[in-house]
Amino acid sequence: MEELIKYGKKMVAQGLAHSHFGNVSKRIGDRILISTTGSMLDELEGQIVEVSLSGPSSLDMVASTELLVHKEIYRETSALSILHGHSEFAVVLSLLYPAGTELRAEDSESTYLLHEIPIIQGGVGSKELGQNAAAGLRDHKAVLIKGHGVFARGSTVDEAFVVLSSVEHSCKVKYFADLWNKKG
Amino acid sequence: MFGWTGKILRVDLTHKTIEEEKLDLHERELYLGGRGLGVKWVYDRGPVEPLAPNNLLVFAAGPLTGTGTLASGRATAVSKSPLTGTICYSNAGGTFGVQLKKAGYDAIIIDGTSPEPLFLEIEGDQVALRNAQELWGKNTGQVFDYLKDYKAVLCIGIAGEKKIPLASIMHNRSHVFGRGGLGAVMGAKGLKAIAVNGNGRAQIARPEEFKTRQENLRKILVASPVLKNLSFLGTPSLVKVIDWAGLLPVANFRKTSFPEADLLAAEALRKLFKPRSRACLACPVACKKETHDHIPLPEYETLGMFGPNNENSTLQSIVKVNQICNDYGLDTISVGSTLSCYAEIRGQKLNPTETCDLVKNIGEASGPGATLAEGSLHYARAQNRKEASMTVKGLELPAYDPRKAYGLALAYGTSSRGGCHLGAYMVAPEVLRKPKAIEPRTFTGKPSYVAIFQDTFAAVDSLVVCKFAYLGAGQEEYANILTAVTGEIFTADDLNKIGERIWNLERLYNIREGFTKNDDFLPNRFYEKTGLENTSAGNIDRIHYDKALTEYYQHRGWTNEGVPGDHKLKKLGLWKS
Repeated sequence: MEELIKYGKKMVAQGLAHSHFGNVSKRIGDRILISTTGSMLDELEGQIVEVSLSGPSSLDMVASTELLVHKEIYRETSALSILHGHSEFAVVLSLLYPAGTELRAEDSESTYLLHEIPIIQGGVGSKELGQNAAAGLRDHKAVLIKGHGVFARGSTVDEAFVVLSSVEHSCKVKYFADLWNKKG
Repeated sequence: MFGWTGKILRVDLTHKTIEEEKLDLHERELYLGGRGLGVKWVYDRGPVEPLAPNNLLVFAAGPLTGTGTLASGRATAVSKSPLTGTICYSNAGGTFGVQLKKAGYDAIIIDGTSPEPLFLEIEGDQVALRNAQELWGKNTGQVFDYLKDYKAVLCIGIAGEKKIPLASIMHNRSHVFGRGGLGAVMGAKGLKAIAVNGNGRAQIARPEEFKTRQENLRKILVASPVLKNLSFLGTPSLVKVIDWAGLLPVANFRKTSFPEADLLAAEALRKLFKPRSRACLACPVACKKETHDHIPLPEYETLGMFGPNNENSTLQSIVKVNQICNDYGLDTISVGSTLSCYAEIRGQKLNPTETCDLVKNIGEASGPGATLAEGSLHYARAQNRKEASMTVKGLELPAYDPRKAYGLALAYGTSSRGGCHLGAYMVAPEVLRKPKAIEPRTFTGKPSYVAIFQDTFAAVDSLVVCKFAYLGAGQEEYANILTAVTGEIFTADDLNKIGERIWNLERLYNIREGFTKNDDFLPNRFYEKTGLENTSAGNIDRIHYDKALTEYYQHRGWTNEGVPGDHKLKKLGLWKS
């Protein structure tokens, strides 16, 4: 739990999540530790609940609205941690490129770390979003949801955080580079 | 007329007369239906004794009932409570409201009393009082067997016949008008049951618009994670949620942690009984759970009161005691709380066998059950241990400890029917974090929040719609549907204004009965550390509570003593010179 609390704070500090939006989770076998619905990621003390991956459990009721998406990703991929944020440049780029395409990271570190980032779609917490996110995250470390935000995966919470942070950095770089290219 | 049938039934049991009356258009504009109309009629009857013949007992549907609107399969009962002496409304799902509307009536007003037991039969527009001698002395299971050919049956068990203030009114075996002892009012009237077969159809003013609004509502309800969870696991899923939030009542609210909570959780219930779901009419959630033999499984409140609050972790015993309560027609919250009060005073917790025996005693008002049947406040006073009664205005608190949820605390204190969680349903924002999460352990912002939620749910109870629907949808969705059903324009603000009027009228009722600001406080236990075995829960600061109460009165336009001011009453159309 401490890890999720620590990286929740970092997400807010780095502008990767705002207000009551965004969620964090970690898989431990058949259990998932996940932030509660409506919680602020820099105040997660007492706001992480443990739910079952294999079926419905009581605390699903207060878990993040995106629980279904987290579950789908854990079922279909080898991810052990998932972070979801609404960082600005990632959302902007998701609106500038069509769903179904992939963004190619162009800065050197992100090129090495992220490769392509699929742009997917689906309603908040919906089965469609869960399936699309899981499909995208089988072969990629992050997906952009059109007009919404980013799901990043990792084998640890730290790794997922690096991915999430790099996606935003990469999107920011790409946004300004594209802007310059258009101007030129 | 769309939405309403425009007709009400007035049944006078003293004179054995049944009259059909027109629904007053002005009244339905001001009070909508269900709880609103019931409160208005019960208020207008003037001061009465709860078990006297002239105390009205109203059963009312709402303008959405019978239209197929999602989550609208409910009805409300209203009367003066024999347990508290306050106004009392109680709400149940099932089929009754829908059948009543199909029979052509918006409401039934029961007046008078009959020396010989009767039941009211409504077969379409044929309404008759029937002899119920054969049913008198029987519990609800046998009554339902006897009246099995009716689509909707309400009845009392032996507890109601004996006018026990903890008596409920049962509906179709698993639905309950539980709180405030309305079963005793029915028993005092000599009315054993109401059986309805309706065959009409509700008329909708704008069918196409209704279809669109309904589809929109369906999408919202089925997408709600909370409602999905209720659909899978039912209200027992709250055992773990409330435990996680630190709000489980334990040992008559003397402790706030119960390590055996998981033994009573929805997961345990599921493993043991493999329950099936049962829905009220027009509900996509189906939160009620029952065994494959159709035995209703306990709801969260029952698990909470007979479980941790009585320090019992034996699930089977709670299933059994739930059956006994349903059969006798007893409110499981009040009975469970009265027994935990009894256990505290005698200094020893009850074992499951004792619990079952005592509940039967209460249902029969016999042996040790005779004094317990009057409720925990009466019992504790008789023992000179008033502090052991966990009640507000005489109504036993349900299974949420208010020490860690201050909005809930204020809602308990100000509830017009006494210690009740449903008046404002602050469990939603403070625990379930819907419609948005709010910090539970502070009074900041809570006075207005509580008042707004109270008004909202007074309107919800008058539509009549299930509160759980509001964990997904909101007042806007139902205002849109009401507009489509009736052809009259309703906004969310309109509904909330009606709710505010109802809430103020309920306050006026209670003031007329002698209730004052002093009755808006919680039991002392919650303000003091004395007697609290788990100190980590802390206590509620009485001064802060008092300040919040004053702010609540100010928000409502009431005096500092909690009396609605003339300006507010004029604005709501309630002012009388």
